[in-house]
Amino acid sequence: MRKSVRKEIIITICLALFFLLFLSPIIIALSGSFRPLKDSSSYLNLFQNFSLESYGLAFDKMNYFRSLKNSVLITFISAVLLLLFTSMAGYAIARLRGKLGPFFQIFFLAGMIVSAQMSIIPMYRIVNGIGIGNTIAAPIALYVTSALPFSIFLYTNFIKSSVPYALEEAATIDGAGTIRTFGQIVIPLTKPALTSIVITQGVPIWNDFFFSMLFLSAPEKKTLPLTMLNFIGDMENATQWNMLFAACFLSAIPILIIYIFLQRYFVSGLTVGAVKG
Amino acid sequence: MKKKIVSILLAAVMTLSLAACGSGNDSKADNANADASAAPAATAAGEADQDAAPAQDSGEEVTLSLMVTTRPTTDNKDFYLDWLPELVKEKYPNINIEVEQLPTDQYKQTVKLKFASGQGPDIFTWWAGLQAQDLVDAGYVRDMSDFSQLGKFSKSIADSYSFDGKTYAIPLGSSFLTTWYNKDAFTDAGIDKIPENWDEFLAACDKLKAKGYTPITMGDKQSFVIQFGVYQVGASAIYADNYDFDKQLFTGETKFTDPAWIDTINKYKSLYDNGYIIENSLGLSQEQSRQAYLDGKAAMIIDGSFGYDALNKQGAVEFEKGMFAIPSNEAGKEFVYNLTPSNGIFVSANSKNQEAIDQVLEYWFTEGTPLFEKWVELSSDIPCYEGVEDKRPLIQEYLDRYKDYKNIYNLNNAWPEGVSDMMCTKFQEVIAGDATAEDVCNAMQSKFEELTDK
Amino acid sequence: MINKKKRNILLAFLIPALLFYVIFWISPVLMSFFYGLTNWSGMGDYDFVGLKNFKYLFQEGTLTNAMKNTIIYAIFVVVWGNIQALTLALILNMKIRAKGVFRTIFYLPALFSTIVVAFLWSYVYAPYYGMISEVLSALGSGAVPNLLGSKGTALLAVAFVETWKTSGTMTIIYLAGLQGIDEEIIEAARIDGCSAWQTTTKVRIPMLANTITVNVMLGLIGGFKSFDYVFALTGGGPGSSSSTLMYTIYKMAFVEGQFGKAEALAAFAFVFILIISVVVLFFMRRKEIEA
Repeated sequence: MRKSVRKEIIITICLALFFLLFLSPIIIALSGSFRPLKDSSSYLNLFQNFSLESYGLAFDKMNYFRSLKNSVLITFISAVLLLLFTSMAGYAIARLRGKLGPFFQIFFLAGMIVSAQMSIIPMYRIVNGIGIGNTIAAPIALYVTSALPFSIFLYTNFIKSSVPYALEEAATIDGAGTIRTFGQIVIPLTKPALTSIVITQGVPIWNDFFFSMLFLSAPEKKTLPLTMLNFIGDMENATQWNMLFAACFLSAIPILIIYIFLQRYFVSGLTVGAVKG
Repeated sequence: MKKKIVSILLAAVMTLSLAACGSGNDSKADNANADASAAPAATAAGEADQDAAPAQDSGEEVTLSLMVTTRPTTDNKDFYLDWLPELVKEKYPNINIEVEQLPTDQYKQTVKLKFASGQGPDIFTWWAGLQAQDLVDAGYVRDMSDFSQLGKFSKSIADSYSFDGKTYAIPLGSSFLTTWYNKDAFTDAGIDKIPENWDEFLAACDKLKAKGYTPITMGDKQSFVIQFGVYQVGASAIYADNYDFDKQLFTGETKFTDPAWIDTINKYKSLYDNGYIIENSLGLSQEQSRQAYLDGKAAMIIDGSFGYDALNKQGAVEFEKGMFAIPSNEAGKEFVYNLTPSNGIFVSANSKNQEAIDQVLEYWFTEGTPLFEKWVELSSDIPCYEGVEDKRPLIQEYLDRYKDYKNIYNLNNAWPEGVSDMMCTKFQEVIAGDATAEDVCNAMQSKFEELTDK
Repeated sequence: MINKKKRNILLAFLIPALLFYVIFWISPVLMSFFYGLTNWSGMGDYDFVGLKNFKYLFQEGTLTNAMKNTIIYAIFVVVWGNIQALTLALILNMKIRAKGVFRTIFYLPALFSTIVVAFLWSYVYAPYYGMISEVLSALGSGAVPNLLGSKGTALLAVAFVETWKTSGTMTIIYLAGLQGIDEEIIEAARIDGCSAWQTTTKVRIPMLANTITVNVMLGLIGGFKSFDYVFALTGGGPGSSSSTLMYTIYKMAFVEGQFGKAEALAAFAFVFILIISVVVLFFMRRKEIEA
């Protein structure tokens, strides 16, 4: 017993050291963000100073609350639409008889290898042609679409492996229609998969700046990651790093808070796809 | 119970999603409503300020989009982000200016995308010469030849936005590529005058090096800075003998593989070969390199007049600053320096708000208006507007020193877009020791041929 | 009759997703294949040039270089990412009291936006004021490391950032896989006289085959599509030593104004990624069955 305790202590210490190294960029940036703007002495002197000056400046420059509101709105609507579309399509694919189901599953999955950079000009023209350019509907449409391939794949597999068909048949015999079966049996049973989709796709949507950069030019529609672009020049400028670091944490704080409170969903959400997939 | 919650949730989700689609499609209608409700207020304000805005009869609310590339942050109010919308609003209460600024790469991409899909920004800045050709050819930008104030601008600079005899932009001014140097370090190394030919320049670098200074710092990680050096060296090495070199590229009389170009690249390369350029320049960004110069880590930085504010800051050490053009001419041969039009103001040809655009531009570029004064005060370009002089002593001194020599624009103004980028990418390989001057020139020539092969 | 009705409803269920997917995802791709046969600059008019774009792509070596870089990048992300994640997952799967805390913090990088991650790492790599160089000089070494500015290291330095960001996700997926293994099998192996090392290599890892496939495929596709970090950290340089496929396409379209040619490359990239993904997936599945 004592031997295993000693082993545990050694492993714990090794892990702690490894994580210290692993997270050192974050730790140093955190320490830097609490420095006053002009303090550019070696960043290795951790937490030698405490000031909120850099945060204050970054906060103003990002127009924080406005950007936060935009980010929340866009991410929320995207996630809701994504869940709706995915669950409907995923259910249909899982339950369609014959070759049609598998065909659509592969058809959607193939979208995973498409990257927005490949066809951005046509994409842009289509979005503007539909008339949603420069509105939040544009990035939302693309977030939903780009998340569909993986989400549908995950959801379909989840239904196939975890929703007993017998249960649905029983409901049908009881007189429930397809839509009711879907809403009252399938959706509740697939909550883990839906959580997983929100976590695996919601975080990248929250963090993305590419689509919002292309489609939202009005300053009052900018999202948090998009305001980070204002600091891109500072990335190369050592004298501005304190403010840059502060901005980094400001843009990450909302999701860090969510992570801390909903951690268990993050872990379970991430693993659904892997284990069932 | 549980079932009920789920169905309520579903219903909520569906309504929300419908609302979301709606909010996208309806936003135009929303705007129209906003316009309608804002109109009376605007008219009222317009009346109060009537003599300031005589053209203001409709009072209809207009929003103009304006795009500029990101400039360094300052503590003071920015001309484009703050003053321009503010002063225009004062004069024309019904005109709102929505400013978007993006870093150069994203800027180019976004502007092109917007035009390609039919919605270019109403007003935007763009580069001169052939860099604007695609926009002009595609009919995206408006012919500004009849702009009332155009005559006030220096003709030679306005001409760099001319295609087929029509002027497509309002020039913001000019700028030059130059070499900033640390006067104290030069004195300390025993260099008593600015080098006037290539050998003197190399000798100065040698003296600095012997005295323990790193002669030159460059932020070559951002490959565009390579242009600053090559264009300065090329000015004398290529254009002293043949001022029409670039025109002849298109007829095939000259090529990038001609001796003049190989000589240019070799000369610039020799600065690296001799160890005059800071070690690891490929890992440094432009800003980091500027910081190294300000901190006294290097005696020179090859940059431009546009770096005036950034390079006159106080770094870790204090020293006197100056500028000179790299003299790539052999002793006794003709010297040519770089002086180039900076960006111009372009207007989208298919914007529906041409009237408001005209009002803004008229106001902006008419001498004596508050907006004009602010623009002159805050512009980093050398003015090319009749009767306006640059007030920065170092720039005056510089222009005065070289005024008797010929000058040349930024070379890529005369090339199809893509050639300069090839040059920079290939020259990075030269710095890394993997390519020769000939490789750079060959790559440029084949890129040029590919791009002109339509 | 009922079945037919159900089928129609199911097909209707597909419509919203299908509509979005076809309009915003598939049709742009098809359109860009079409543009690949033109000399369109991205603006104005264009002409058909047939396969000329492909000819230039091969001639100037852009395509070979971009493919080579992309493959190296993807291999690094897959191999290093999986080794790191699997090792950590195995350690964290041991009976350690603090593992919950470790798991929590290990996932942190995955939460940051790519642009923020790029900011952080550009500081880490900066040669004169950056973290690595300051640590080295604090240790008394005069060396000024230049990882992003050297041809040999730039690509891998960027790929490392990608593994840093994704390792948390990968590790959690592995942990879930490990927890799914029936403890009785492990116990049985131990009784049969397997050492701890043997139970790991001979029992646990083979039983993770399914999870490994998932992580390999995620890493592979992520690696092939790499763009953000190249864009923000090196701009494809020095030279074109870190230009990946996606970055090259982007640069061709927007910096060089050769949209047609960029789309020709995109078409090539699409087919290439598709083939490699299918081949690897097929190979992994076969391994899974063997295991």
